[in-house]
Amino acid sequence: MATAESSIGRRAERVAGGRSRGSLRLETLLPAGLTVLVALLVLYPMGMVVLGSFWSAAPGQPGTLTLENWRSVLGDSATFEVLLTSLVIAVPRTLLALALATIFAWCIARTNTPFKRLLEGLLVFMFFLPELPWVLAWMLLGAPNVGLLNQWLGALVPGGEGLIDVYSYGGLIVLGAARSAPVLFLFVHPALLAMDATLEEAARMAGASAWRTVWRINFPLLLPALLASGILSFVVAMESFEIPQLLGTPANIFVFTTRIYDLAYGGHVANFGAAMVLALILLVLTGSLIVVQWRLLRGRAYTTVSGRGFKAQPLDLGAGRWIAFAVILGFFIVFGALPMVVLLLNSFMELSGFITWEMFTTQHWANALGRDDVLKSVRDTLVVGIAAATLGVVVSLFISYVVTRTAWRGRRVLDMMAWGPWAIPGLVMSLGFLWAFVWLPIYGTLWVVVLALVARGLPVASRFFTGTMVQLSAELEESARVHGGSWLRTFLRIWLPLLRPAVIGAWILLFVIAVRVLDVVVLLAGPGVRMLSVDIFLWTVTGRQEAGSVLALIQTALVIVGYVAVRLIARRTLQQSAH
Amino acid sequence: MTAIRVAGLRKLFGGAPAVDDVSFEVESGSILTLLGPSGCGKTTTLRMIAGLERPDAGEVRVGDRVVTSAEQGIHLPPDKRRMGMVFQSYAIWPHMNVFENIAFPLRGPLRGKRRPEVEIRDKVMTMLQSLGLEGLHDRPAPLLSGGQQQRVALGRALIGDPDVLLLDEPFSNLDARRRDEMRFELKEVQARVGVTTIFITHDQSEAMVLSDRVVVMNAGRIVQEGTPQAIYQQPSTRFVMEFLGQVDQLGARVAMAADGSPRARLDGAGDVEVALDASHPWRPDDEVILMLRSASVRVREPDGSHGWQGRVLSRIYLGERTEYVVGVGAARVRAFGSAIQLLDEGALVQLEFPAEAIRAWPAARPVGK
Amino acid sequence: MKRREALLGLTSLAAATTAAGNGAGAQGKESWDQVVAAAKKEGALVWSFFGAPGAATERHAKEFERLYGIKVELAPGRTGDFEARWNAERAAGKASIDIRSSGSPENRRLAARGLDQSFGTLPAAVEPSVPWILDPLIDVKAGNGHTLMTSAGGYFILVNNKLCPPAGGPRSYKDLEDPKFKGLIVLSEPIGPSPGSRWAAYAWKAYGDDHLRKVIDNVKALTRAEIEAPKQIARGEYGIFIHPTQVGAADIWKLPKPHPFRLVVPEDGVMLLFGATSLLKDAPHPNAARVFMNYQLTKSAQQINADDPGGPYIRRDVTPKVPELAHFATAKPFPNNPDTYEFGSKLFFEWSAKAEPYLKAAGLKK
Repeated sequence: MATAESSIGRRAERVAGGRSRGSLRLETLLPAGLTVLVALLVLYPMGMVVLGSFWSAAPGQPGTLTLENWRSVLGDSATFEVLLTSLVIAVPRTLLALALATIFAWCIARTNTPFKRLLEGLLVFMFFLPELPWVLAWMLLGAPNVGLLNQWLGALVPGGEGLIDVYSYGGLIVLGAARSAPVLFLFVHPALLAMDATLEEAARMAGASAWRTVWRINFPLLLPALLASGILSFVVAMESFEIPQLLGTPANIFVFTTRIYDLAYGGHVANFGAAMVLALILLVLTGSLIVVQWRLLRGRAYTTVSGRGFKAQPLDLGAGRWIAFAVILGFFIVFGALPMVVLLLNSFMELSGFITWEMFTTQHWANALGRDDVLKSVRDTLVVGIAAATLGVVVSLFISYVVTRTAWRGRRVLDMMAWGPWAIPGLVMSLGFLWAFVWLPIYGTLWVVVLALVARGLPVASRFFTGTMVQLSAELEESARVHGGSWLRTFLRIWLPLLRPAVIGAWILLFVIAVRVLDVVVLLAGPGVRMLSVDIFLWTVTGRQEAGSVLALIQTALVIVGYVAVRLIARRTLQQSAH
Repeated sequence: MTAIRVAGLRKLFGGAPAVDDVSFEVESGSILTLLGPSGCGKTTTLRMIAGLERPDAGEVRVGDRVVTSAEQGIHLPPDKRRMGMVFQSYAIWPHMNVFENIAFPLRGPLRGKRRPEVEIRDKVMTMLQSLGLEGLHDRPAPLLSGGQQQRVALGRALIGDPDVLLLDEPFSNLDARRRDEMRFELKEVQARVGVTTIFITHDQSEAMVLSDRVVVMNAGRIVQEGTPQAIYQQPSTRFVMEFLGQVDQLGARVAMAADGSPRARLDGAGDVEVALDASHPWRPDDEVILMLRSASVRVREPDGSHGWQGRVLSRIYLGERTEYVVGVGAARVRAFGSAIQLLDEGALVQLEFPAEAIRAWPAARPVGK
Repeated sequence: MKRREALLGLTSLAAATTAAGNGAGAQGKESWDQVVAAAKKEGALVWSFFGAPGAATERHAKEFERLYGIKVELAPGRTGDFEARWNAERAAGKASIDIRSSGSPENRRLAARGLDQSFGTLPAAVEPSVPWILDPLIDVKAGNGHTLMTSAGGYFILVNNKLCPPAGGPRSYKDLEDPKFKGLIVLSEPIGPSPGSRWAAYAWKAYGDDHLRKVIDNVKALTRAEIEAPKQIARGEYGIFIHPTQVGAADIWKLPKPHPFRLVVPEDGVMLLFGATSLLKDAPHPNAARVFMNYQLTKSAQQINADDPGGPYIRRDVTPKVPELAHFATAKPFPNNPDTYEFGSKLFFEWSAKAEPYLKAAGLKK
């Protein structure tokens, strides 16, 4: 670590060496300005959460400073019971998701599994599916006895209708893992592709069988990446709300987040203070895990002398390659296609869950497509999504630059701040955003939603860029400066083109998050701003799933259109710049 | 005794042969070098021998075992071939220390048995000692220098007592000084262990130093095979001659001598002639390319005799010796002279070289053997 | 603070007297025109209500805009969402919401905390000889704040025919305590701001602690999705749902007959639930709000409510879409139906809280 520190410092000295004396320039103003901006986006709302935990009323309301919230939460045995339940669900959920993601990524990256590109595409597609309608589709599929899957199973085997129960620990874990696995795949797959193939070949030459090579070489090499993404996924599992609320509470399974929701919204009198305390306990837990993850990555980021780039010979699985194909395809069919088909069918039914010909109707589609407010929702969602993704990319790009490429003293603080929104459940962060941003003149406009989404996206996007920037040699930048490039020109002409793949990836990720995310925007999407995710939530949670299904399908289409559009634009600009 | 027999190896990449009809044999305990420019198919050949790549045709035998045969559908996985390999990048596993890297081949259920830990420790420590890596056993792999990584890679390749050692350009990542040292070290270790070795390089001097036999490859095919001396002294093609050292090309035309024997007459220098191989059907006035190895050409003051005379065009003082560019007729020839007695630009000089330093080829195609 | 409340009390009293007085008709008419003119000038209205935008709320927004040219912004949300947003906005001096429609206890609590304001005289509320199920001005007239009653609904018992056949099925609320219904009941969350709370309060008031405990022992799951629950009964996920029609449409009536479920009108009387609307303090469009509240009571608006299956309405002179669900308007009311100002603003919370220990004992709550 000491060496990493000093090398960063050394690089930055050289960069700073080109500065003309006395004048304030963009490169010197940037870190400070950025810190102020990130503090406004992250620290200010989080400060509101902390204040809320010590305030006898909601922040902004008349009240007094008090320790009562902390005392009551810490003195309540239920706090620790729900924490334990959360762990009991989140740990196996994460392990299962990690195992699935690693196996899928390995099969696709390193074996001769057929139709790899297709399988990869299907897994990426699953990442785009909105959570809430997906869970609702599973409630229709997996309700004990009456769920569609259970009915089919019952028709196959006597007593089969009792086999699946989504309202259970098993349901929470398996469905949660099915949600997390495609996301983890997106992290693990590139790591596997980037791994130096000769390391594997060297093990084979040293007498290790294919399986021993996987176990002794691939797996340990992948371990830092697995641990890092596993921890992120675990944090997400701990903060997950929709799945435990919809599937857990009917089975009397109560987790940390449903408890927070209960305290904040469930009572006659909103107990925001206690909810904030719970959120901060979760923050300490997840925050320390993130610190652990930093340590892991910093100490064990392997850089190896790269070989001549021989593409590794994919491992021949023999007949097993069709099994691998079938397993991944099966995963997609069960957890991706099936719920989407149910969603699609549902959107054509008079009544959600009663899927028969007699109930067929197109009125929900006609309603949705012909209505101004749905069009407004689509428009607002698109505007917010594009603005939040673009702004988020710019801000996180600068953050990553300052963190990895300068010696600015506050860079660690900046890095840490950018992590904040990941460590607090969106449920609570949304209150923080509300209390913080209601004072800004832009409250009530699209822009406040955009700000909140930028904040929410920072941890993901800045991680994305930091990973790429660390790999790029400082000399690329230094030579540009030596040859007369200003800091800004260097940034635009050297960094941006070099980071283009990361920029595109991060933009898509942020866009997907912005279009899909619910908790952050639910309190901010007030008058004048409509978000599809909030509409879907309201329609589905209160029982109008048919219309909700329509909106969910529109939302999914939006995300996919955005993804494809960016891909096409990226390809076109690549071709143009090649001329 | 033949340790490795490669017969008719062929590998297609995207329909085009990267390796085509490659056959050679390696004597037990000797070093054979596959020499060629990058992209000539030598690495692919090595990887097929290692089992990392599957040939489209041909077979590889180690001793009496067929390890690969496209025709018989045999493809032994790499770990079953009892080979050791040093990769170009060394492929030192970054998550293990030096000891674990080297011990790796001993820890597997190799040949059906599991070695006791004490034995492993002894073997690895002995290996570390013989490689000059004492005291580095617990150093994490990423903290090794290039030379150290190379030795660890070599140790790892040898510790399992392999039948065959494969070396894939092991010196290309080292600086020049380390490279020279490591060449001799490798040769020494190989001789001591006596393992049959296939070595890959694009550097002809490496090939000369290390090999018992050299196989020169170009565009996926073998161009010539032989001892280093044979290859150097009797290159079978212009390609081989050019590839094996610095060469000057001189244009000439065929002229028949009075006794009817064919001679090549240098363009623009009517009195400079070279005898041609009489077995080739030369016709008068055919274009001939003369290739002259610069390293063998000496410059001295003219003694009045006829022949290879020219004027000094430029001079480069190299310390140990002096390099001249001499204009002979229309051609420019590089030659070397003494470091003490310098000749001035414009001076008339005589060139001297042994007969085997110059070879002639018809302009269109190489001379048949 | 105190003085202000007193002041507000006075205005509401004044409003009540004007409403009650007969001679004030002409003068009221004239000032109402002024209100409407001011409302049109405001041009917009933000309407927060419990639940999701449904067919009825959207039709209201369209109809109201058609009538007055005033745009209605729908801001659906449960009590917690509404309060979190509205309180934060008020603290920043940026209250954006004009009116809030919810179950009467929520509105009455707003009144008790002085968070509503007088809506003056609404012509539709003082229209003579309207067959009200409940006088919309019942609280105003009693001097209990400014809650306008705008709808009425009831609790029925919805039963799946397969899981719980008619023979031996429940006939009254009281029957639900029978242990034979164990594991069959899905219950709207009976504590907190949800329709189930009023069932808990009524049941405790009428039948006591023991009844409440026994029914909760029979509960299989709690739900917050009161519109989803009837579908779950129809699909057979649960056997019995104590079914408030107030929250929104019960779409299951669209299913082909014979229905897989039946609606039991309890023999011990229908528990009535009232829905109300409050003009919020600091409302940015107070006049548009008043015109809208007046509109809510008109026959055409109430008919829009009744067009939703099970939709709640407060005038008996409308035609309900599903007559089976309209019994609350005519059926025998539950004895001593306790939905009063006192109950809504105070006792409701105390009474429904009686359910909490039993819920915890049954493992339904942490």
